Amino acid sequence: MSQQSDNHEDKAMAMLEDFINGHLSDDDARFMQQRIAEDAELAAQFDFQRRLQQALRAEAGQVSEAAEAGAEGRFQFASVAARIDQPRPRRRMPVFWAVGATCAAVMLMMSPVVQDRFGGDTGPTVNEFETAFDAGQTAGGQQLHVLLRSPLPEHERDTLLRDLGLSLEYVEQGGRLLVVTATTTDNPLQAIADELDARDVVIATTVVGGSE
Amino acid sequence: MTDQATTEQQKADDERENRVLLVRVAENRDMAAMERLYERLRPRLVRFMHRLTPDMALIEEAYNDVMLIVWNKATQYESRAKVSSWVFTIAYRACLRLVKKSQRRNAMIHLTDNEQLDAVSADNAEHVEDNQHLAAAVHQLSAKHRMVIELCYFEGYSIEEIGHIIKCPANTVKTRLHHARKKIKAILAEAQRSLDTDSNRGSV
Repeated sequence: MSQQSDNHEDKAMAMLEDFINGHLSDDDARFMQQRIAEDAELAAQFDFQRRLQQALRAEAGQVSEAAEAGAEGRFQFASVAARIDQPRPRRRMPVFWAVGATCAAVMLMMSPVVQDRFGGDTGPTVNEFETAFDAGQTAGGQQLHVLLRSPLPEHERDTLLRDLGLSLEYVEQGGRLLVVTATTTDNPLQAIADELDARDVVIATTVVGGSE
Repeated sequence: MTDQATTEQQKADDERENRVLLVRVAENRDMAAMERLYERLRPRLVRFMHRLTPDMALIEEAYNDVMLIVWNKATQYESRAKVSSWVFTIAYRACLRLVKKSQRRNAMIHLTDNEQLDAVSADNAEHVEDNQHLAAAVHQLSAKHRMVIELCYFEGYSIEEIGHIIKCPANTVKTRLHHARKKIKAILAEAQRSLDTDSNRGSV
């Protein structure tokens, strides 16, 4: 059998159901009739499918009668209408998403990155730091102002400053703002500031006031 | 006008009226239109469901569920599709559930159909592939195979429409039809074999 003939047969097989149901165009239907006349296997398939269709449709009469008989007293639209009138149960998904979104928002607010950008209740904002800087300049003494990423526990803060050569004589911490007033024995504050700038816990430093 | 042309015209008129009613339901939430649609779609859908199970209580429950979905989803109807095939799309899942529920209740379908097939086979050994045998064999198919056979050969939907109803590609529909037909032939052959064996025993 040639390739072309194979293709025709495949195509005809694929179109058989639609042919039986009368869904083909006139041209395709003519093509099918011709193929069925020429091909015994296709003709057998066609015959079987047509008998299947006839069998189901012949059975339909009995089924319809039985269905109609069984339907008596049933299928009242009122029962559907009653369900239509009832308020639909609240959807749970929006609640789920609302809870999820709230949790996500809280977690986001707690993240250091957001706190650095937008501030929070843990310490001064960058603006407040700048205000303190201005205040230090006004006071005239030399101070080191440090804006921390987050408030440090006292022992951590002291260890950090001591390692950098500060005497810790005058250290004040308000939230994330650290103000160190230098004494004569301390290392130069600018050098300490440079060291602190390199630490992860520090956002910014500035040395204000004094003669340095 | 020929009978076939009259039938086609009747179908087109029915479809048009169904569409008008569905649009009224979708746009105006018109309860009267919904009631009319409920009555108009009932014979065809109930008949279809009754072919899957004789349990009218289950059918009533399934049909009411389908119509409630029609009410809720009426706005999603796309006018390209026939109203009947759109409703069948909704009914397909309900019908699968219907068959499963029915099977759970005393394995009703398979028991009944096996008995039916045996009885029919015993009646007439010479014509095992007659209409009754074929129809009885269809009743023994799995729910999915049976649905495509019913939609294709009984309801007369095209392959493309069936694909739309059961949400499968056309090729999947064709594959299911192919396997379903193969299964029907196997059931008939098995029935024929058992008849032959019985008649041989009788003759001995």
